Amino acid sequence: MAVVTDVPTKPSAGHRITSWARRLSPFGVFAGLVTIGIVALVGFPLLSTLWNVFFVDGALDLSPFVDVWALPGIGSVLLNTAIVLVIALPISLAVATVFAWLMERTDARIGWASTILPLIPLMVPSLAGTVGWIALTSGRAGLLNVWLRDLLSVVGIDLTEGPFQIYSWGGMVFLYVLYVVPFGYLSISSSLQNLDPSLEEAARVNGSGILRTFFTVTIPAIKPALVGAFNIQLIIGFAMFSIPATVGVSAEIEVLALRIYRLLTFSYPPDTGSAVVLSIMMLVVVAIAGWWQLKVNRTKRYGTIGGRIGRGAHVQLGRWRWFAMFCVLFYIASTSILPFLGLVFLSVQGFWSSEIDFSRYNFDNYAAVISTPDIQASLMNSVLFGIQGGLVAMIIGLIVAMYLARNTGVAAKIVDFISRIPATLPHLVVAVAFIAAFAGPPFNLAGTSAILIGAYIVMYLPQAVISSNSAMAQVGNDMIEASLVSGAGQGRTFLKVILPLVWPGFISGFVICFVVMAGELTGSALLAGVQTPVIGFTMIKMWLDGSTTLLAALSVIVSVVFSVVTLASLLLARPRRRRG
Amino acid sequence: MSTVGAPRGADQKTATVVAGDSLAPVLQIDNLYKHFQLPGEKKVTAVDGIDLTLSRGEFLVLLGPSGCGKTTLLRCVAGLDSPDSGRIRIGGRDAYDSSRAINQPPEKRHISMIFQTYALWPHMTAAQNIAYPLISRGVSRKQVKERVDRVLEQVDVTSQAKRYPNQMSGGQQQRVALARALVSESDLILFDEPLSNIDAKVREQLREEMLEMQRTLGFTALYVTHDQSEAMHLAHRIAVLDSGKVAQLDTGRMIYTRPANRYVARFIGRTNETTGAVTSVSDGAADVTTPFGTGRATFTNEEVPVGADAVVAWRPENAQVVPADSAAPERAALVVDGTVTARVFVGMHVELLVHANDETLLAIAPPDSGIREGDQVRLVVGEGALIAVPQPETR
Repeated sequence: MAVVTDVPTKPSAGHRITSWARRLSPFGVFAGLVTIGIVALVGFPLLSTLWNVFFVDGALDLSPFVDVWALPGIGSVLLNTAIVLVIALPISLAVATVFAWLMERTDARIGWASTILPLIPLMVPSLAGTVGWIALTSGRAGLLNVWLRDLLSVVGIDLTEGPFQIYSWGGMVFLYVLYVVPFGYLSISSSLQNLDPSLEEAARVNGSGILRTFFTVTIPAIKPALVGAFNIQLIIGFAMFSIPATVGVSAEIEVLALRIYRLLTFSYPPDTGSAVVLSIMMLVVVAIAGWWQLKVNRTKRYGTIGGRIGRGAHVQLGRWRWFAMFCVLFYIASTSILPFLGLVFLSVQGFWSSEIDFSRYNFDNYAAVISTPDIQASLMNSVLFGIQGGLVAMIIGLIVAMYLARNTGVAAKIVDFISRIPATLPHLVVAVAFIAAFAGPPFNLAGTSAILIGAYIVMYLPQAVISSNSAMAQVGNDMIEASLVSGAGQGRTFLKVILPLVWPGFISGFVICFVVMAGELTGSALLAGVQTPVIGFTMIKMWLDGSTTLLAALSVIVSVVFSVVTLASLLLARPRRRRG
Repeated sequence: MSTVGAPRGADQKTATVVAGDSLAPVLQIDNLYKHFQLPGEKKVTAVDGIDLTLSRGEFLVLLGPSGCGKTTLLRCVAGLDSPDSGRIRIGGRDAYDSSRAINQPPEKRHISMIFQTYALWPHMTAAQNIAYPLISRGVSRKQVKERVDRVLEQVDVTSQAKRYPNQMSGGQQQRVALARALVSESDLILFDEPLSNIDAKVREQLREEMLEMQRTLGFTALYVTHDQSEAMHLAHRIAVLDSGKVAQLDTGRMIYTRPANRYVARFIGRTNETTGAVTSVSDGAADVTTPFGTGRATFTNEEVPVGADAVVAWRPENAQVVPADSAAPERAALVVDGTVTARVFVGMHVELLVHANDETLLAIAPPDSGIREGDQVRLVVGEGALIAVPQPETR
């Protein structure tokens, strides 16, 4: 054995810098630039807004934190938000998990449904879907209610209203669940696809029943995806605007998102201070959930794509199979076909009437929608912006996820935190911040596509990062290390190994980003100008104008267009990895 | 990187490359340290001042139980973990040098590595997996195909070329992983417990093939395992690691017959051991007063001074089992009297558990031995077969 010769000396600063520069790969530089870009795009508008709110004449002024409690009814707004989320989120997570498991692991799998399920509600934007459900189940005039009352009167029960009432707590929670479920489903099902079925088979062989295996093996093994799904659902729940703005208003259940919208648009001058303080409250909740996800992902005790890939048989559900299939189909119907029918029913009428009279039906609304240049332009713009913004957001998200997977230092924490902040900001706040930062000189981007796409990327960056994180968490470290050892640099490793392996996760993340961006409502309402109208901007204008039937016609068209684009991207998402 | 242009001829296949120290070392590790700070735990020193040199064509095995730092050391050589200080030279070039702040990324080190999990990329076929290291090092398309075909044949997986990893058995996957490591003809191939996921039969077969391939192709190998028989089989030299330090670095034979300390003696093979006071020292051996009587033990490493306690140990196969009433042999290192408490027939021989002086010893007798449970027996440890090592420091 050799003898210890010398004590290692510390390298000089010069050495450190040259060595650091030598190690700098093009990919490293790119990742660095992206990071700086995120900081600028997210940090700059927010900081300038915070500065405007909390610094009066250069002195710190925290009075907005006190003022906010003087807002009328603020207590009940917070309580309503809490009630809706506390009831709707666990239900949504459970439904998403069970559906994903049924589709990926059991003989209740319905080929087309398992692919389409998470996407159908995304293809019908939530404002359109909500309007469709209002058309079906508003107390007196809802189409479904009319039919049911007719049916009940046959057996001697006469009702003047109901039996359903969408303008209620039940209606709110029902719609929240419907539109929150798919956002969790995607990450859970792709994690189940990647989970080695032999883990579950081992449990079955060791004497666990189907349920016991589900709860003791499957659920713990996909915990990172579940926590990720919960995070996305929480963010979507907080940001949900279409339901509070329609059903919430009529049911007099005001939640945070709506209050912030009102503070910024209905009051003059806009009460940015209170809106920002309310946003900070959301930030705290989402930050706690985000910290939890980070903690779960770090422990690495979960099933990942290793070098060995197993093949599994489907769990036999026996007679429960038909019940499970019915539940899934019923969900699909309630999120898409039913509201779509409601929309179609509304859209062929001149004004809203629950009387069924075919002679009065016509396509005037469609003709009006199609012939209006503004609406044409907004459809076009939304699809384009959605594709561009979705791609950029997912690429950024993937780079951030890679960075987070390999780094745990302070810098990683800062990048992660910054990429998460926008999730906690209602889109109106992002929009206000963007207007403050970029609309005027020196950027002069007011009403341009750049400011819209920029704002979309910021708004949905957290979702892109979360989707990418759970996709990355599935790629075993040895896959990356094997590539580095084979002489591939970080750039090649990213393109040839990481990207193909995260491809399904990447595409499912992109589809979410595309649809939410193209259908974005509230931020668009403020940011879109007359030159660059987008769908959200146009639809909210129609709702506020009371042109419900015209809105229904546009919703039908939008749903069809979104479906085509979503299905097209889906074809790209078919996993390259061959299954045995 | 030693790029061997011409295909290897049949005559070369039988040539044996012996580890030589005349050539420049392929891997040189000097005074390497690596610490870990696990949350909520004390700082762990995974690699504690290790020095190692591998000559061209040498097969060196890092052997130790889990947590001894062997995998960390391997990952530091690969560049997948960063050491805290020290120096690593691969193929005569600095891969890591803390004093000059050099730390090359893995892709610049011209090495290959085989992972415990195989780490075959599931989205690529076997041939694509194997071609990857060549493509990333800029080898021409024509040459890539040639070399991939050749290596597929070498590891006998030509039939799997178009298959995806999930369509192959574990043994086939490991062969492909081996092919991927061989194809670039790197100076140094790192093995991270490559056989631990394969069933026994295939494991033995692969082990023999790997041995043959290494001796034929002459690549330099640094191989991590916790399996001593694997180490004995494959290695030119074995480095037994203990808590981040090299406990002994020698040939398998020397490590087995002359373990440098109690840790190595216990880890490699089976031993009977006891302690005793040294009463006299001469010619690299000592008279030791053990609970079984006085023995003559050979020092394998440091000598223990007269008056101090030493650990004495012998391999079961080095002790002859005779009836208790037989005459005391003249030339024996140690004689132990005891009672047989268990007798197990294992095929090649009979194993006996012998109770002597409140301790249970293992003894080996010929398969036709008439010794039964309950018999009084005498164990005669052959001359020179009893070794003495210092008492380990209490940590």
